[in-house]
Amino acid sequence: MKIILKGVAASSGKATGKAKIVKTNADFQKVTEGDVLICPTSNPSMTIIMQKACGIVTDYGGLGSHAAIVARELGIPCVVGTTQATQIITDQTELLVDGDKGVVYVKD
Amino acid sequence: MSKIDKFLDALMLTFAAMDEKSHWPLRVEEVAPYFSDIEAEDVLKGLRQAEKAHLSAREIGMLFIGPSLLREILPDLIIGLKAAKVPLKDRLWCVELLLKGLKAMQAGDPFCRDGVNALQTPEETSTLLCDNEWRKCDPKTSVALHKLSSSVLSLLWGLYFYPWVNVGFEIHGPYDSSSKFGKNTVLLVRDFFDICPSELWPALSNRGYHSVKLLSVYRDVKLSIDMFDHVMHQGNLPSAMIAFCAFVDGKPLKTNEEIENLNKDMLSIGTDHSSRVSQWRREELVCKFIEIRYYCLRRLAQFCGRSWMPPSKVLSRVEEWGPIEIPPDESGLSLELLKRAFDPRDRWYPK
Repeated sequence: MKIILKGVAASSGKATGKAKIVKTNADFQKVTEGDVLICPTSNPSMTIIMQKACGIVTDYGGLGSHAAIVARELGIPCVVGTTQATQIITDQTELLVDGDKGVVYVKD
Repeated sequence: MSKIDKFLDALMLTFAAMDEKSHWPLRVEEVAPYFSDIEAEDVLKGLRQAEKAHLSAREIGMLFIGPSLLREILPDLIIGLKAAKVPLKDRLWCVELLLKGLKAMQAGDPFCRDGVNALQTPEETSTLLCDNEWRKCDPKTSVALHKLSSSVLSLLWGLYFYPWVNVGFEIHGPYDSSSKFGKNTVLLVRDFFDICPSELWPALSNRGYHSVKLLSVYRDVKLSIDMFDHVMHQGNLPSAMIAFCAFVDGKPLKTNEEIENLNKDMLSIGTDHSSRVSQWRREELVCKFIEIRYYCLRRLAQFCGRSWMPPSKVLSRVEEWGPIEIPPDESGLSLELLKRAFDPRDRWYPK
């Protein structure tokens, strides 16, 4: 596994799953149970897909952002503020999200 | 250290962990200039009236709904006082009075610098622990309950937008619960007391629910709350929960099915609502944002005998001035400048 992104460790734990990039509401249907949600930032209408995800990675946001707060409530790992997750990760990539270290790995 | 310095220190600690770019649906800086000076003058008048009426510090605090909302409102109010060119002496009088009100509403540190938002005394916590029928928690129930909590929080973000979301809830604790649940246990209270503000969102009035309250007991987890009710912890929160009580509109939720069905309803209401808001034109968003701010101050307005709705001179500015554009890559003020902006003793504020 190699490190693909670093950001702010916003919710602890580790999870592996397939990346699903969500930029608009039309992308919601891509997310299934156990995926890693990748988005620029989250908003309240995305809670329904956040509850399906095993981990969350965002481009923007800090510990007080919506993604961070919801992930902590759900007990799933979350890395925020990576600045470029939606640009360098592609759909279906197998990822490991380390919410303790704020690091995202791609599986070899 | 003065009360104002303690407030500023706590504020800077909290802001250091945030990122301005995550604000939904707009940033405060895109909205506050329309109302801040006018609002500050009205608040000042209201507080003078409250003092004349000999309201206690706690009663003055409660004009701002609750401690968390008062902490959220205060920073922009301080900028408003400066924008309205209120003299230093009056700015300090106003802020110190509000900080007294804040202290009177809290059972612990008013700025949560110890990681506790204490609204109850140990005796009140003890009564709460004894008086409720607690349910033991299995992993499935715990996950369902935390999903429900995340759905209600998200609904509130949709209803009140980011900066003043505490007008609808207060998360308080963690309180020592060892007397009932044994060593290393704490109680956290999530009180979502205004989830159907029909005055603000008339379309919601037929969606049913008005409040949700979740009392959760956790074991072996280090929990803390900052001054804006952000819950921070190490480890997995759902798996640390050992007992709970859950209520909707004051009635207990007794089965997992009830919790899961309520979560589905909250998700549905929240998703519909936020998706609609996301499609609004910018001007509509700005006007609703301002309306939400004035909704936060509705008790003060009612005490003064006036409507809580934004004055027409505020709304006409939205049309006259046009949009206040913040470049998308603008990272916001440095912490040093924010501290100056929110310090009522310092004349400087962002124009």
